[in-house]
Amino acid sequence: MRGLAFILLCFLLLAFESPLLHQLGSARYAPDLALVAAIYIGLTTPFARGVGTVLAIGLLRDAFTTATPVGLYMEVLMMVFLICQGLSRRLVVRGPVGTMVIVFGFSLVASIAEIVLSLIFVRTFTQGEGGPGLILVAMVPQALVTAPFGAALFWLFDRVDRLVTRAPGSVFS
Amino acid sequence: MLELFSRHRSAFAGFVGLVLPLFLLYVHGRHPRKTTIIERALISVTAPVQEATSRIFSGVGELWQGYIALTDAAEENMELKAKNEAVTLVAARVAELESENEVLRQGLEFKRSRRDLLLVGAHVIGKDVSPYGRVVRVAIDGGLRDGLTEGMPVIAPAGLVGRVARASGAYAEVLLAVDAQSTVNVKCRDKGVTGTVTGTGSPSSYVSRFSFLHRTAALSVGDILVTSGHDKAFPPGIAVGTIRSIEERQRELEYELEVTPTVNFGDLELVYVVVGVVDDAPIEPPAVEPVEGGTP
Repeated sequence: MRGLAFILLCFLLLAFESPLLHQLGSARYAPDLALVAAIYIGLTTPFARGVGTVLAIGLLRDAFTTATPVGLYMEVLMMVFLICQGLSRRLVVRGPVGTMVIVFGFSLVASIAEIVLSLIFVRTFTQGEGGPGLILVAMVPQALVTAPFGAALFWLFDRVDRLVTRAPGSVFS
Repeated sequence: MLELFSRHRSAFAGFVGLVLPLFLLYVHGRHPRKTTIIERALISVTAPVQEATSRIFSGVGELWQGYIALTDAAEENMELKAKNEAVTLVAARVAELESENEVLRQGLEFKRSRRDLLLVGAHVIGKDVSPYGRVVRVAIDGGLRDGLTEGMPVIAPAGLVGRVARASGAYAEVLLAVDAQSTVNVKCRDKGVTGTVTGTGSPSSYVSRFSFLHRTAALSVGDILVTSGHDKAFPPGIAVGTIRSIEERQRELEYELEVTPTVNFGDLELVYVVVGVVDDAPIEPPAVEPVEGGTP
């Protein structure tokens, strides 16, 4: 139920993200909402349940991103999820600023992972005007754009979490 | 098998979680330009949603843009209206100044053409109008303090207007040449006929009577009558009127003809009062143009 709620929420967020950014004229540096979801799930969800949810969200991310091959963001988000799982017992997220810092850091990690995976698996990655240079240039701005959305989405996910699980407490304290 | 799966559930999940995306990435990364079944399925799910959301946002965007445009249009409309009013006022003022400039230019030319006369310019500030719309008397903004006294001739570039009937400090009243009390000694230019032009005082038309004893040449319609200067009241050479009809009426020893004044009293704005005469100055007779509206 919880996982399905996150998947549906991410589906809506990803569906609205692209047209909204297009309307606002800021599609170049789009926040990585799926990444924030993966971080949140990695920090709050048991491993076995979280894997399925993150895979589904990654697939959605791949589906809404037509420029990259299917599986790329699934793998990137899964890697982020695994790292978050490993850090979940040691990492305490405190307040919006802490969330923004974590999201910023993971956004950089995700970009590097994206470059590495693309170099390995995508034959056409180094051809044309795109490639690693483009991701490297956009890496920091995108992390900066994603960071504030991280705080907002953590708050949103927390609300949804409370709604569907009725569990006391919050990761976003 | 199930027990093994349950026991190593996390490990199995982690393995699937890492390997499945890699497999998909491998498959799709080899032939990025080739659309697979998975991609088709994903597109069939996401495309309608993206289309719908795109329409929603573009609709909202257009609505917002339209609202902004309408707001701007309303403000722009008000600004343009205000500018239009200002420009209309300026245009009216320019037209008024052009008209005034033309009057002053004519006046200047007239003054140059009559250097023999000492003239004091005055604006027509009031007109008594008959029920038929004819001007019967005018008031001017020159008076005693400007050196004007009763009886002084009042002229315009087109010809004789009349004479000062009453003068006060800053204003004066002009008895028009068409008034029944007005009598002017005139001569017909180049015809050698002299006589007097007397106003009829008609409230419905600007007309005077030309009375003369005899003539040396035949008069014709349009002949110009100018002041002769014999009465010492008006300087010579000022156009008074043109002969309107050659149907003579004999009254005792005199003949009478109807005369149309050369001045259109309805259009008078600027007049000149003759306050003196310079004897040595040359006289250039003014060109007399047909008067519009001189007759009803």
